[in-house]
Amino acid sequence: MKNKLSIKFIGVFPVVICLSILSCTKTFDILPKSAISSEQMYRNVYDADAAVIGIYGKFLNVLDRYVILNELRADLADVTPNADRYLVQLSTHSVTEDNPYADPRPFYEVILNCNDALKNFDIMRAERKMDEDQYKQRYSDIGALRTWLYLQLGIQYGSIPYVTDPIENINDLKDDSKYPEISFNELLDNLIQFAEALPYNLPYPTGSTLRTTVDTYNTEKIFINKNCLLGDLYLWKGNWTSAATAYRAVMTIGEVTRLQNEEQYLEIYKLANTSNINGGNWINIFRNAFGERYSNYEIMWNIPYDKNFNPKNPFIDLFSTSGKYLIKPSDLAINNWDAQYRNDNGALPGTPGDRRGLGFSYKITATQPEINKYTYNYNPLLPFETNGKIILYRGANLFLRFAEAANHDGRDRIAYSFLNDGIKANFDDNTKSLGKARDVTNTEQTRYPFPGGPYETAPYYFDAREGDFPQYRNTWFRNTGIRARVSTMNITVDSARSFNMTVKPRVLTSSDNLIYDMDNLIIAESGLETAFEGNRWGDLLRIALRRQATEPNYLANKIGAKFDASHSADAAAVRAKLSDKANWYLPFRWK
Amino acid sequence: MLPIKLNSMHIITKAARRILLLSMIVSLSNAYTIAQINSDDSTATKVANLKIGEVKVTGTVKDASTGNFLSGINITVPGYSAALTDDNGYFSINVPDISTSIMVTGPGYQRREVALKGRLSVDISLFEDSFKSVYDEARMPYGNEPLNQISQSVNSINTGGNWERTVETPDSYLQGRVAGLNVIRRSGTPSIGANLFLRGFNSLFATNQPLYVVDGVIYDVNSYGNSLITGHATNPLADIDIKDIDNITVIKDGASMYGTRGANGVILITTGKTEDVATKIDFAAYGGFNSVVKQIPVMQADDYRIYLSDLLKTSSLTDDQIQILPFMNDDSSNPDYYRYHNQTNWQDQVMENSFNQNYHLKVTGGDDIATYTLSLGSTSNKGIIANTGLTRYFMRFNANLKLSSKLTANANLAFTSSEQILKDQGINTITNPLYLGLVKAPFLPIYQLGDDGSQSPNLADVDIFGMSNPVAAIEKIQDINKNYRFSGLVQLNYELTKNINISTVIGLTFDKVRERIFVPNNGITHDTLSLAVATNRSGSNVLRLFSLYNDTRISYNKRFNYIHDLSVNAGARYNTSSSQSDYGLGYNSATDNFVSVGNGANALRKVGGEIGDWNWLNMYFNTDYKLLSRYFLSFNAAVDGSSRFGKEASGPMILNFNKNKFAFLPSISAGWLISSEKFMSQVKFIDMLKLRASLGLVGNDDIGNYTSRQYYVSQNLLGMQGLVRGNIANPALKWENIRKLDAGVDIAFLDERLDLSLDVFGNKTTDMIIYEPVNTATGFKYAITNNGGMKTNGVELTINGRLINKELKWDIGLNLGTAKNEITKLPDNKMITEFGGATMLTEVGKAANLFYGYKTNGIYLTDAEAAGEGLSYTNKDGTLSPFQGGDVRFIDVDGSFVIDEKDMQVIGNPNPDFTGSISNVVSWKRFSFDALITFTKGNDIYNNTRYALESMANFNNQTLSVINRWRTDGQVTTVPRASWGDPSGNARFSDRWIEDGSYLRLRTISLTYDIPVKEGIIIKYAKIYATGNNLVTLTKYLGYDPELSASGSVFTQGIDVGLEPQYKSVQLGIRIGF
Repeated sequence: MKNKLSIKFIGVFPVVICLSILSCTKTFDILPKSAISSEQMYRNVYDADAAVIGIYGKFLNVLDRYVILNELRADLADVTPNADRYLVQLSTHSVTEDNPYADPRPFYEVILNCNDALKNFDIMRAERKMDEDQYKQRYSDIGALRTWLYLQLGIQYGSIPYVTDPIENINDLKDDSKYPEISFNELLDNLIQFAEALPYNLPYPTGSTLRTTVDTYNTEKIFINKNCLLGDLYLWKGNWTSAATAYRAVMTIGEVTRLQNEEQYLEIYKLANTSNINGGNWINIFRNAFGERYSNYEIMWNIPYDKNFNPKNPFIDLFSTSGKYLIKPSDLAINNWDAQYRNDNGALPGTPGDRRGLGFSYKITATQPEINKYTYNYNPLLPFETNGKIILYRGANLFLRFAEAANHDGRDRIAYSFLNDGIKANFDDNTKSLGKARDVTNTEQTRYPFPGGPYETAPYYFDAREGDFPQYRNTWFRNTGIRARVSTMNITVDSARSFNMTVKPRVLTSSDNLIYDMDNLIIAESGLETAFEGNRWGDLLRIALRRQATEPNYLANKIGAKFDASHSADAAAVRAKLSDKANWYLPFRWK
Repeated sequence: MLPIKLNSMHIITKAARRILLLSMIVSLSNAYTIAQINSDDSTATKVANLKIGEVKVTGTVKDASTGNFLSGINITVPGYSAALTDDNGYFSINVPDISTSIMVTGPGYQRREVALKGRLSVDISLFEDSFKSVYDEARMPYGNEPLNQISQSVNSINTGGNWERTVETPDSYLQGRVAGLNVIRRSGTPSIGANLFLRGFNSLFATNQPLYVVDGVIYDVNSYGNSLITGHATNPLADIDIKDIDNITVIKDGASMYGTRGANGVILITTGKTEDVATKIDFAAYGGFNSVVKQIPVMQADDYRIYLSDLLKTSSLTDDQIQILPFMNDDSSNPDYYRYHNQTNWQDQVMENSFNQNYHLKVTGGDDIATYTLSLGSTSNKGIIANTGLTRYFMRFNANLKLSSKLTANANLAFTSSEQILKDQGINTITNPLYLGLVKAPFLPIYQLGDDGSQSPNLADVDIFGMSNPVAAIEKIQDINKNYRFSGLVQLNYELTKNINISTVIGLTFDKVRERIFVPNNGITHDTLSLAVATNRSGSNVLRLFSLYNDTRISYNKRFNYIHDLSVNAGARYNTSSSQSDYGLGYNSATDNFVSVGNGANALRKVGGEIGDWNWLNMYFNTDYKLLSRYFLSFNAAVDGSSRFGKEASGPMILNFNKNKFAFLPSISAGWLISSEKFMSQVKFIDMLKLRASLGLVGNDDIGNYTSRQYYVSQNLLGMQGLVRGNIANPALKWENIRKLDAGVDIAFLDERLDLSLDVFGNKTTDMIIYEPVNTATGFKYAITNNGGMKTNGVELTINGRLINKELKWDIGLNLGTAKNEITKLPDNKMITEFGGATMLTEVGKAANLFYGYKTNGIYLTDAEAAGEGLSYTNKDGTLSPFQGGDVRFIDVDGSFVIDEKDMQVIGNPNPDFTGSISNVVSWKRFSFDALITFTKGNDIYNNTRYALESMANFNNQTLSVINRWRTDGQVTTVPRASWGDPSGNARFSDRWIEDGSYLRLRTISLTYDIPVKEGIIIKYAKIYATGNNLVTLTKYLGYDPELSASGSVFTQGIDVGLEPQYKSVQLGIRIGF
């Protein structure tokens, strides 16, 4: 009897062990130790911050690609003999799908993380794991960054899959509805709709955990500027007033009362006349360290590269003759600068050349032209001193794009002012007596039409009054134009194409021509001013799309000119390729 | 009973036909056999007189070789009756049934089972106990089973202590021992072990290595974390001294007892135990000599200089610039003259003959309550790379305790400590001394030389070509690996009733590997980091594994009516493991005397590591049923849970419990011992004939600890750490399923003089883990899914025969195995992998991992010939250039006239057609001689070392064949031209570098002499051993040695990355028993 009992007892023994192991759900639920399981993520605002930081960390990995694609495919940069065939393909617009530079995946790597964060921020907000302000700031930041990435993808690839789902597990791979492929135009609509709805469009406020100083770098301008982005989206879409309004919002950041902080009031975001970044000091914008006071006036969004942290500054290898030296300024870009005239030594029509050309945007190192904007401080004898920065948005972008919007909105004079020598000089109807020693109450402000029309309203009203009797030092009084800022002669349209020159005052005969010609001046200026900064292909493509119907070969001619200038045999082939819109975009590699 | 027989009828006739065929083969080969069959068929008539119920059987037992009758031999019918033979070898025993079997055992003799098949009188002959018999017992997971009664495909090796083969590790020891087990030693480094492929591959990305179970506890042989020493991996199996092993049993088919860990077969290792209470002491000492391998013929200074000038002429340098290079200047007044006019054989400098030593002490003994086996050993084995070597200390203590009449216990404790001095191997052009010894310019000196040629004691620094000094790599680089492993187990058995046992075993493993490296500034090429040039480098690494294991079961064994044998086991195995790796790397310490990480520059130091934890539960059920010791049926089933499995795994063989998924893996096998049938009593020359078949499902749980989970990994932004998505989670992730089908026949002829075993198998992997390429828009390259599949089919043959059976005994054995692999499913149908400079194709419908490159057809002898063919190659910038005279003529597959990736094709297969061995054991008087020949046929090797030595594109010294390079238009040669940087890609991955890796090797040869000792002195016996390893290798392979395996992964097979080659060694040893 006893034996039987114990048999029963012993018989259940293994069963008991099994059950006890099984019933402990933890047995098969081991959380990773060198990674964070999804259950452990997004529990509080610090996790949300970690997501933001991680996303920006990954974002750095697309920036070299951003510069390469936008410059090499456009007209101002060219390959060196060191370049491999894939870079050559980018330059000659014959990209094959296996081209690693044309792989869209790095963009989607960041997008995926944005999608993941956005979804979880919503959940955190719903579960009260973040307060409303924390949520708005982070959601808007990441939302804007994703929008920027998609805009880039649209620019480079045209039709793309617009993924907004965080693809959490492999079941999401099979669901094709998560990868809707949409045209660039539809994409723009989607992006505008999304970006307009973002609840917060300012930088992280002081006191936010993400606005801090880390490794000596102030994080304020590391995060995307949402209004710049919104303005760009409208500009791409052709919503001129909306674009101008969004840009204007950036121009007014930091507009506190004058007494509090004159520098911010007058100079930041105003393209102001300040000797530290004017004239020959223009290069300070690129040369000065991240966050340096004066160059910081001009910069809206930039990211530092620090030698101590990954990723390494990729631009030194790319551009420096002591590095791999794969990309150089094109002959066309050099010619463009050489065709300008400076006005800073009094002689008219000026000294040939441009303060943004030789020695500034590029330099010659042992007969080899070298892009200088990223490597100015680089010393080949100190090969590991690779600190640097990339500027993703700055005043010149803002004002030239504002000018572009304003021009299309009929404000050619504002466009001209920003392009050349500023509001004050161009909206002064008392042309006989200039200067401060007069009553400027009724002048030096934007009017439409000018002269004689009523004062402009937002976003086109600029008050640049500077007078002593009564005293005026109004917000825009130190604003200067892009060209005057670097002591370059004003540039004008051929008035004969747009005006009846036989009567005085001149009468506008073709506003289309005026807008067209002014557009060309702006885009040319953009090339002189922002070459090699990653804007060029986008700028040219935007114009090309705008003029598809009227000037289908715009892009072909623009890019063809690069090959003409270097007497390359590829010119005809490139022209032929780009005369077909299908070839404007890179092939999208699906796997 | 009856239905079984009826159903089996057609099998019988088939079998009979096969037997006939076999007997014909045998009779053709051996006239003696025919004579025996013809002269002795008198028992045939007795078959008619079948008797049921108790009967008396008589017979004799004699020695198979001498023919002497044996006394004192045990004759038993287990659980029924027993008898002993008398002085004349005669016995008489009662048996329950005339169709039963009797068991014959005796000290010094083999265990033998004799089926009566209706006979009332049997004459039995026995071989000595070392004879490899079909009646040997295999040590199966649930107890010992005689091989002739096992229905699975099993091999059992009784090692006999292996006193003559001390330099082996358990894995390398298995080479050539088991048909179908392809053992490839990783390299020649002492104790580095081997990669084992049992019946080929079952997986691409999960492990293909069999499961090791030592004394009932799973022995984890995976390495967790990477070695800092290039080309090295610590081999945990080396921690088991081969002399401590009694038996190795290999289960080759789909026996699912180990569930999701049994995918690649199970190797059960049993360490020493003693039943003998008398105290015995064995002491052995060995010493040996390791001999350097034959050098690869590279150029001497004169040829090399001519080569350099040819090469440099194709660079951008002008003739004048070339002439003023210091090594081109023959003016002895030139201050550099002596520095560039030496004759150094660098291979001599990096390899050296060396010695090995081994000591072992084993004490066994005990009393009625407890017996123990204690062994202590040390080994010291220097490698053939100069300044390398291994020192290891072993300790093992196994105790068997009889705690009460019902309760017994075992305790096994083993501790091993090793220290190995190594050098970097494999693809490391800066610090691998073997590589440097081949490519270093021969005209350079070892030591710094003055302008007058006077020699300094300091080693020469990095040379003008930027190449390290091989002697600095040998003398100054420190690569030290220290390894400790403790494994202990306690097993308790409680005999609840006569038929019911419960047992539990708890095993504990603690393994730690500590590594330290230092690469000096002087003499070694500097490395470039992101922040500085690394002058000297140091590293420290700790890999640690902790594992706790429990196996608890209840078993029921009973024999009913001497007809039915039933054995049932049910239990659970639980394994919890955690691994951790931590490393630190330091750079630029003040001088080369500061060799630890802490002395490096603060800003450059790097640390890293990994932690992995996982749990595994295996609930199992096993039942073996035997009818009349003739019909065998075995059923095994496992239900496995693991922390690695996804929570949403789905499929037909999945059980749900408490939100967790469990793998249900059954297997069934059946065997029929035809030879025990009554009708077989007429076929006298067949002793044993067994047909068996098995079908089983097994799994592979090597799918990553956290792959099924969605997780986030760290991502910095400047110095801030953020988190980003680490993967696309696969909650449906599950183990790989492998269905294994096996059919086999085991036959023993002519009183076991000839044994034959033939297996046909088919393994099919489904749900194979794959890195599945995913849509770009996901932001990931791959998701890990179960969307792959492969199958492997093959045949295995083992033949053992005793050729001569007199005072001189000669056993010869042959085993052969094939494994033909085919990929059946891949997400995009094909996949390209790269390793060690080779490109491999894995494609549906083909074998895994085929060399994929360019085919060549000689070279262009003239420029005109090249121009005539009109092929071009693509330059780096995408432009095309035509091939010229002296360039390799590549095959233009797609007819595009451009040689590019589209012209790549399969150029080789690293998987062998077959592998196997021939063994010979000869004993004569007090001598015994053992020779093992191993071979592999039909596998290709990518010779990466030769690629470095015949590319003719840089300053590397080249082989002598390069002297015959193409130099002038019209020159008839097969060697292409030298060209700086190789713009035309003559050295690209092509069949130029693919070689036949077949070899036949005299793997081991040993001679043992048993010294006669006088009775009554303290020494009971003494033996002398002489052993040789790898003494003869026949191969066409041009590298140092054709046996190599860079890692256990499928994708690294057949690639010679320049590891330490196998070398010849000889050893003398003496063993004394007290």
